[in-house]
Amino acid sequence: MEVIASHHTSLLRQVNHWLQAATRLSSLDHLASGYAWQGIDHKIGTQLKESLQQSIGEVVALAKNLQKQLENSQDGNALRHIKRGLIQLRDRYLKTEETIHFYTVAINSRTTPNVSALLRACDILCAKSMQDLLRPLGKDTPPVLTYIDKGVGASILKAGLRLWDGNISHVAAVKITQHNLFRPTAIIHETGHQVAHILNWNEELSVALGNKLTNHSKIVGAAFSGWSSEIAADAFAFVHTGFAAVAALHDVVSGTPQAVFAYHQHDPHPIAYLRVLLNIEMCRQFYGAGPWNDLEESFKNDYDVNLVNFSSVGLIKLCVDALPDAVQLILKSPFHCFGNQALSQLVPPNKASPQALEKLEYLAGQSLYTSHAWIWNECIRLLALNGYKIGTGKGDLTALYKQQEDWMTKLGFSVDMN
Amino acid sequence: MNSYAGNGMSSELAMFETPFADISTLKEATRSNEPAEVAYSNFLHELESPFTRTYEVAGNSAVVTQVAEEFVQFLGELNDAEFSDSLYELASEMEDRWLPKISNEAAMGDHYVPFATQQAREFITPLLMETETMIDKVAQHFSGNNLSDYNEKEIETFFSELEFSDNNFSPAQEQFFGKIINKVKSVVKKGVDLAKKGINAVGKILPVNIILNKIKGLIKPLLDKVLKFAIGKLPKNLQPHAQTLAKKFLKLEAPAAPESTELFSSGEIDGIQTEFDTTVAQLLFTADEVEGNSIVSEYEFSDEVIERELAYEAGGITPPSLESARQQFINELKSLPPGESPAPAIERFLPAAILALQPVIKVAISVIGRQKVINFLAGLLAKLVGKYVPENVAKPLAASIIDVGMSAIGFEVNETNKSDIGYEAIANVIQETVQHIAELNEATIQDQEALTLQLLEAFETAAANNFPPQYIKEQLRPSIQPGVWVLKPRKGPKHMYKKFTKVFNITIDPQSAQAIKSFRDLPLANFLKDKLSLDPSKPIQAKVHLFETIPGTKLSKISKFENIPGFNAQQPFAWVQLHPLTKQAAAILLKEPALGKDISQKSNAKRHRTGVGQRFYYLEISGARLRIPAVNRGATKAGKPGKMRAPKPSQSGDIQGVINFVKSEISFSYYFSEEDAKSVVEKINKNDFLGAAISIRHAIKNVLNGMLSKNVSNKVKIIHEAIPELYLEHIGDHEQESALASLAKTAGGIVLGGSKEMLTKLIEQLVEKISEHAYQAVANFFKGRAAEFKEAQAQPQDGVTIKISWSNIQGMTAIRTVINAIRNKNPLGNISELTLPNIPSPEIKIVADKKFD
Repeated sequence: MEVIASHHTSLLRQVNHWLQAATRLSSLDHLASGYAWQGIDHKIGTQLKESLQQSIGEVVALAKNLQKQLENSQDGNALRHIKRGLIQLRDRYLKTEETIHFYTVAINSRTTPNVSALLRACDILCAKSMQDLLRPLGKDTPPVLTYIDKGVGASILKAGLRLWDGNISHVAAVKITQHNLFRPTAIIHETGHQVAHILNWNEELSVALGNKLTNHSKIVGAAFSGWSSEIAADAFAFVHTGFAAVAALHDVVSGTPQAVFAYHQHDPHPIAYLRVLLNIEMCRQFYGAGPWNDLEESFKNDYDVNLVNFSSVGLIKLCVDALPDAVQLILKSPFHCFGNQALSQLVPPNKASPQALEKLEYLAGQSLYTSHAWIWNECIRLLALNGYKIGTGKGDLTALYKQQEDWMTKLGFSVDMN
Repeated sequence: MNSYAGNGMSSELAMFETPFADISTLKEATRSNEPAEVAYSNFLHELESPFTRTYEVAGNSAVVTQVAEEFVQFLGELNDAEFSDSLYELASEMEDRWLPKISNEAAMGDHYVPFATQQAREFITPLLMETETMIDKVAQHFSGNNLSDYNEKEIETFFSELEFSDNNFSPAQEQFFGKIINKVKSVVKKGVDLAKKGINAVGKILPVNIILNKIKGLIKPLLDKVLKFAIGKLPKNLQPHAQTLAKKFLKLEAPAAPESTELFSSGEIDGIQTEFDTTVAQLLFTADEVEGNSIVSEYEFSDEVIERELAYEAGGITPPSLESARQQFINELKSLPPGESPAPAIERFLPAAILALQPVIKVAISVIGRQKVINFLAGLLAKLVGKYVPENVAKPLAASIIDVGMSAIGFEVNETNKSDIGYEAIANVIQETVQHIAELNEATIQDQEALTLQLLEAFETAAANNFPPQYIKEQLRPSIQPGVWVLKPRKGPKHMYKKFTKVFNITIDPQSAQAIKSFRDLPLANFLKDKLSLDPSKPIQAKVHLFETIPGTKLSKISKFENIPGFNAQQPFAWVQLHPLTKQAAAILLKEPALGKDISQKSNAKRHRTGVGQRFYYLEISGARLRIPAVNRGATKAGKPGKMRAPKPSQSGDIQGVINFVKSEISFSYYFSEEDAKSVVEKINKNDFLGAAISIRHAIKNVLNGMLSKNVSNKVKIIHEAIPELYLEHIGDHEQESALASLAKTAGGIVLGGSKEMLTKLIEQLVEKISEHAYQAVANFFKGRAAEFKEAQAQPQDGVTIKISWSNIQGMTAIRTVINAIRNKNPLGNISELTLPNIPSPEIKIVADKKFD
């Protein structure tokens, strides 16, 4: 009897512990600074708070339910049952905490008015890139919350997926890396993942790459098929921002030769070497000759596939031959999910061609970076333009980064001044 | 069918077919079918153009003194078309200080005003101190007797280098502060100018530093008036009062009793500027300090004096606030014993409802008359709504309101299962019935039949608006889609507006976006493009939310209590996204013409002039966001660190005309929004000159000149010694017309309108003539000087202003004399030729940003 009593007490104590912890979590306003909350879009803020509150509410309800059960349970069987519930409660709490922690870090990255404005500009860029494709197809664009974090590569926590706590996320959270804040074409790659998820393009593209590269060895189709989700995102970034995305991608993946030539089974990323060349091939097919030729030359010089003996070399060589056909398939073939149109028909990459960008600069004249009308309407092409210039590596690079910062700041300040 | 017996009203009611679907019809309703009386307006078009005739002033025309000229010129310089907007925003920010801290305004009773005032003080004090310090600095600099040595450039430089500690100011505080600096600058400039002209021209005036010291004393009362506006206690006829000041100074005939017929839901804020400016101008033209002091103290207490006058006229009755009267009324209805008439409760509620509608009704009825009306109306209304008062009827009524509005309104949990909202609907019906009775005066009280008819018609509309559709006969329902107007917010300090329970899903096609006009007759397309960055040439999906004003509504407060994407408490300037739901807008957007209400020209001019019972809509468009450009806040183009300026939503095209009779000058300022300017520059850069010309032509001819010709009364500033009102809209509608009789004779026996109408006609024709020249001037400008426009567009400021001015216009003197004759009621002599013989070539200036005179 004493054992039961002490078991009861122990369980009660633990349930109480998790209950008070969950209750503490529920004051969401305290998790991020008031300033940080104000820096994000009102709708996103509300949706996040609601969904997090719901998760916490579920944990609290679970705990209270256990408390109630404890009140009425005296025998060992019942207590064992409650113990199972307690483990479940701990688990739910930790998962909820994980979710909340994730958003806390994301929201708190809006540390100062300027960083907040830059991230709001990224929010707008992300939303616009998705709208361009989704709106004509009659789909809603999910809200996006961008945040800064360390590291080399960007990432996305897609809207519509299950979070740690088991609830569906309503907001896409896109991570932008510190180093790429003023060259953020990678966030368009990330929204590409979101769009492909919404439209189910990944699956369709995977099947197409697997079946339609018939002029090449079967393993080429199989390999491309396995990389379809990353290829889709790259293609999305390319049609929006052209060479800017290609050059930025090149700079991000140009690490050690091991990293560039490595092949990992089940990795959705193509071998980095192939990925860069695939992107360059996109430029070539739409824009002809240009600075990407130089980029290709220097890349191949840096990473000479003929001089290395990684196990992936054979596959790489087979795949390189297939790149023109792959680009044809990815960008120029119709897909069911695009209403039987090709991606390049819905979002023409030529709008981001060097000629088109030059024309934009000419037509807008000196007001391109100062007039809010231009900045707002053409923010994605401004990203393409600046990225293109930086990508060519010519001119006053420092000034170009500064220019990017300036217009993004303007864009960010023009919404939700707090 | 004897249920209507009693109270002596049975005969009137027996005639009436109620709007309620469930009451059997007694008889066909007798409708008032007054012939549409053709007013004098029909004669107006027979008045020929003033440019083909001259009204020569006979004999002793009014002697125009130079002082009068200088005075009106100065008034014109002081007047800032956007000053009222910034006062409104200031008031709105003040209100935000106390609103969140109040859970029930009515329950606070007498404590409300002191509490609000105290909260606002914290907001006002730093602003007041900084403004006073600024004026001190200026006064100090411009003291001494070398005033006439300053030139304009030196004054400008001094002001641009003036340093303040306004870093902690809110956007509205900053705007206010900037506007006051501008006024102070005008005072200094004029003071210097007058000092140069010398005592012979304008008589003795006080040194500028002394004047500035006196002006300093005006700032606190000025801010207090803004606070009073925020609390809803600013006298409703401040504007006419302010105008009599100027008229007195100019020795013009002032109307005996200032009146205001326009009823704004939140009071009239424009009067604050008129009074302030006139007081400042009076100070500048004052010869001695004693007089100056009395001007200041008059200003300080003016609103209290007006209020006492009003209270005297109201017979000393101070009814409870509408909100608490309504609460009390609902409580009384709830506890009404079965079988008893609600008439006494209604009688107690009506005075508050009627007085909330001052001065429209007040001016027409004496105290005794009012009691009679109240008794009469209460009797009738009790009969009409009595059926819905018993709890077992009110509860289902409440349930069906909650049912129809659950999704759009978000009722509080504690409201469901209660009858309160049913009683609220009854109170709404009664209040709105009073609101809809167009004319209530001594004459109608005598004619009970006429009054009954008016009341029944008003009741019909009010019931249909506030009862759920199933309670109302189909043909009387205000909309095809089921919906009802419900007071909001459901929880908060007080009810502030109404919302329609139905949210409409619509597609705005390009044609509709062009056809629908928002405030200032600006096409909706321009709003969508300029403020929301949408492309109105493509169809746009939107959800439409409808709102209605009640007494006390400020548009700026609606969004504070809504939680719609893009329209909520967090969205700055959310209220600039509200548009008038005119019949046209309702018909095109919603296919529900009956939901629309047209608004007066005065209300159409500014978002802050909202009348009671007006309707507005907000477009919720997925992905659209209000653009509040950072244009003023970053570094300037030259690379100098620019001073932070208050953020503002991006502006749409606008126009201003200034007709200066004193100087024989006319100027038109065309403001191109950043989007419009951008598209013009883009076309010029493309060498698409034809395209650019078409864009300019569209912007000027279709949009801006159209806006001007429809809004001459508030878009044209008139500088004339006999028009200290500056704008036609400020001239009273019922000025005495003694001089017109003589004019009428000479014009061949045609009955002409009042002097306001004559003036309006005159100015309209002048504007029409100049508009064509203005367009030509702009078109020519672009042929030769497009680069300047490009340069201005590339500046970081929002948009571009093109100012075209003509000086030394021949023929204006003659018109000036005619206006003097009209306003001074001088007899007019023979009519001969009057023309503007040739309009000289104008001077054209281009500046970045919106810069109006």
